Amino acid sequence: MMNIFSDGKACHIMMVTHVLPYPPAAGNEIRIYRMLQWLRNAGFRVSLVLRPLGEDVSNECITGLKQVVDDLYVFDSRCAITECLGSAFTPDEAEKRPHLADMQSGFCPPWFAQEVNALITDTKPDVLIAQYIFTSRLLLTTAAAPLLKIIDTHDLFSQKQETVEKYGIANFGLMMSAEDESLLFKRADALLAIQQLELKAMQRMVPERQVLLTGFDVDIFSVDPALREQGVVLIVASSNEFNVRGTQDFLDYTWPLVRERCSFARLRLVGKVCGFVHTADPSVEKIGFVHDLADEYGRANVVVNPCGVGTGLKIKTVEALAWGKAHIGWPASADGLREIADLPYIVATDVVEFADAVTDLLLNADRACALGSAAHKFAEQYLGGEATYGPLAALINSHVATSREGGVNNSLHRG
Amino acid sequence: MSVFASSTGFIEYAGARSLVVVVVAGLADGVADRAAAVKAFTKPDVLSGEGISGVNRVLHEACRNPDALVLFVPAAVEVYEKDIHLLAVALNQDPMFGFAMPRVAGPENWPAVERMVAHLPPTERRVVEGAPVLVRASVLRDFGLLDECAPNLDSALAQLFIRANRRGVSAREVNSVVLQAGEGWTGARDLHLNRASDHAKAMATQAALPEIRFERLLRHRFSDKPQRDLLVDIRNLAPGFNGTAHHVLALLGPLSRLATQRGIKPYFWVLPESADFHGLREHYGDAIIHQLAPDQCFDASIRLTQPWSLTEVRDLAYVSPVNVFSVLDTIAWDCHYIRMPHLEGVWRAMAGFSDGLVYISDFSRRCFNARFPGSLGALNAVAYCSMDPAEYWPVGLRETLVSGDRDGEPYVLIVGNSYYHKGLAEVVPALSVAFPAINFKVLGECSGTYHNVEQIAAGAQSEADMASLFAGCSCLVFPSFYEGFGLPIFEALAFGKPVLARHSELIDELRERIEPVSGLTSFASTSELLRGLKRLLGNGEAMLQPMGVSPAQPYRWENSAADILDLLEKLLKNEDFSRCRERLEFFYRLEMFDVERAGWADTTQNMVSFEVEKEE
Repeated sequence: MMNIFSDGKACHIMMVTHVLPYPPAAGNEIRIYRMLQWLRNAGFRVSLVLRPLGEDVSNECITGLKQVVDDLYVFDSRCAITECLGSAFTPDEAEKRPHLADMQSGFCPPWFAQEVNALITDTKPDVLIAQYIFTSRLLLTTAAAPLLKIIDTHDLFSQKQETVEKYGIANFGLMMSAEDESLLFKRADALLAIQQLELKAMQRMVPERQVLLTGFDVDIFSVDPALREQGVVLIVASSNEFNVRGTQDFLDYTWPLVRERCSFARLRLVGKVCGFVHTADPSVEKIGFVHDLADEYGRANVVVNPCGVGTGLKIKTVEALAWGKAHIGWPASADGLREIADLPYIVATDVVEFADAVTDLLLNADRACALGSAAHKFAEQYLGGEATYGPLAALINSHVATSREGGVNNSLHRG
Repeated sequence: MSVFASSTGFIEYAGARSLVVVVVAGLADGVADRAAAVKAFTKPDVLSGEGISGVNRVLHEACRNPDALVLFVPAAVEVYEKDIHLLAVALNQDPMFGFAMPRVAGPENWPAVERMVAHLPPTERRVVEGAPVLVRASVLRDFGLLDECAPNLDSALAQLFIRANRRGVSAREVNSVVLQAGEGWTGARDLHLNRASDHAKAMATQAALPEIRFERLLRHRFSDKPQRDLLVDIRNLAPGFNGTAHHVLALLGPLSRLATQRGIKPYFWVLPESADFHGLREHYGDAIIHQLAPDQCFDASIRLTQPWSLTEVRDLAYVSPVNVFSVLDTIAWDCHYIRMPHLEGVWRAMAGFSDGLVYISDFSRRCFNARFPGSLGALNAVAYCSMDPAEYWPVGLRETLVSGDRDGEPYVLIVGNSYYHKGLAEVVPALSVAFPAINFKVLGECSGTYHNVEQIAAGAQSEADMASLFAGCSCLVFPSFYEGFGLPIFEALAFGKPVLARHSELIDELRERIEPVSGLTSFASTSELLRGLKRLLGNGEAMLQPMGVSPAQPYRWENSAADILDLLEKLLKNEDFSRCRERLEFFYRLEMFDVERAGWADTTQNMVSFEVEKEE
């Protein structure tokens, strides 16, 4: 599909983020990377503006991203800060709230807003996508006014309070009220929700805005069943706090129960989480970060998502399904999936159930295979790129078609 | 003016024949012949109307014989030649012994004194307070005859002793000589002494001697009484509800009832505020005491909680010859972070000096014996807390809660407190994570906050609230690593609630004792805990039914009281007072250390010396 319009120009999308999506390791990095990749492959011209928080962008990152974007703009610590001549954005209601303004200034200081405003003026994109609400100030820039403005939300931060409390995490730092979050949402013409429950919540919060379900697309992989190694259980996780806590809890409470009934069970921990969890159990192997997960998924009999709580779509679960693996997770892992269809994996409500499910699958290869096949089918049907990004692409094309013809797409605002 | 008589005779001792002059004091009509009771002595001459000056004339003659002895004796006291002989033998033990005193007993306490002196050493150091006393004639010769201005013979003899003592001569009480006094003998003295602060100091020092305390305890122990008396020290009972209060209060009723049946009168020594809070006076009347009278004694005493200070051990040592302590557990000694620095000494003293020790479980007994081998020398007994679920919670409250409907979400109750050994830190996070959809209520403080855990401060709960907590739970998790008994186990079983307790020898012991009750299961690891709770939660409705099975041979508070009283009665029959003497000696030495630290030498002693050094 080529998104080139009658004027001969490709539809141009500018995305701004503080997250470095290459190499894609953490869930949010993977999401952004895959979205960029899909949009580019779909024929959109993609510009990416990076402004990381407190770190420099590596050459590896730049090289990797150049493969999936047309233009890359980097504003890291090496960037000379330009003098800010007046405000480049029009303050809205959210900017009047000091705590929100402070937070925004951390992610989008005025000089950065001015730079992005200049970029928009120079490159004339059709669409501006802010990654997370934290960069949404850029949607207020003067030059962005005629663009299709989108926030890729990733999370509902106003609901995060409840989630982090379940893990007893204090001072998470990025929590806000639903009212605050609604004010930030209103900056966009459209919001991308990562799963169905959050979509519904956003529709309640800002009914005048269009909300699209843009989940997490996965490549569907097929692995040779002969590669499986007896007793291997796999966890793939990054180092965010939920992953660390979930994995540590799994090591402390669930894995010993598995080992009691299945002495040959081995757990392979993959990802940056390895640097943050502790165990003396010799049956646990900390592999660390790997660029290619094929081998790990190939040898695994069972893949588990150890996070008992969390927001958004559970990428670990989605990936496991895409790899056609027997999978076990907590109820939270099914958020955004159970609304689609019957779940093709086991949802446990306590560690004993969890451990016994792992054990049963390790001891019953046929059942594990059957569950893996069901997972594969589910992923193929519901988690492919077209299913995930199709509605977003349609929205963008609709907007561009209208705007280039001189019209205004009123369908975006429902209020 | 006093009337005296004298007689003379000879006794054979130390291979020689010694002249003895007997001076009888306080003669009245018809009693002069009492002095003649000493066979082979001359008939007494009444020294009528001459007072002490008449006595001195007799003594002056006696002093001519340097080996002579003079016996001063009240007319109301009978003396035999063998008594004089024994007193003389005691004097002959040491050349600086100048005075030998017999014991005197009236007819009403003669049997008690006879039994008592059998437990006393042959002789003891004492201060002379008057007659009866056997004095070397050389003392009179060297330090002067009796003071003729003295108001009575006792004062004159005490003055004589003071003069002699200042020059090194001392006095002995001879326990093997018990003289019988007639009716009306009180032993009271009317001493008038001048410049005799050294005598007063010696008397005060003597009163603090462990031998004197021991004698007082024995005198009470062997006295003729309609019933024996028992001091029950419950001063550790708080004006509130906790495990100790539960234990103590549950025992008081059966202990009081059974003791009375056995001829023992119990006295409960308790703080006034605790007596008020628990309404003890209404139940036990004059058996409730808050303060002991000076020199008040009991046949036996027991502290129903373990002692935390040497003072508490000493308190019992000073008031009864039989001391028993309850040992609940050895946690406070084993865990260094909570161990009070002096506790080692307290429990060593308890183990080494008490006569009996009562433990609330055999597990506690083994723990204490292993840590304090000295306790094996005491009589050990186990008096469990009640193991009959029917005895937990007031009947009406239990029935109401069992039959009533309960609102709210089901929950698992976890009981502990902030002490590490209670095991909350290991269990609460695990259970919260492992069963995220289950509600937990923790009775007692634990650190951390958990989405599915409600923490309830134990001390602030009324009995009804506490009962409701146990009655409403799905099951109880009791994660303590170390307990002496574990009352919450039975508080839950009383409502038919299954209990999942951390495995220990104690839990095995309790399970054996309450067979065939199966509601108490144990876990030894976190995995066993998780599987055990999953199993219990899987039983669903069955857990909410009242327990249908009771222990085959339920051990009740009544049994506990009986076991305690059995131990006490065994000790009361036993007349080995070696531990009593040892502990009195121990505390006496501690007190001497206090005296030394108080710095007496610079004040009191200087005053005494200054006065004494004046001319006599």
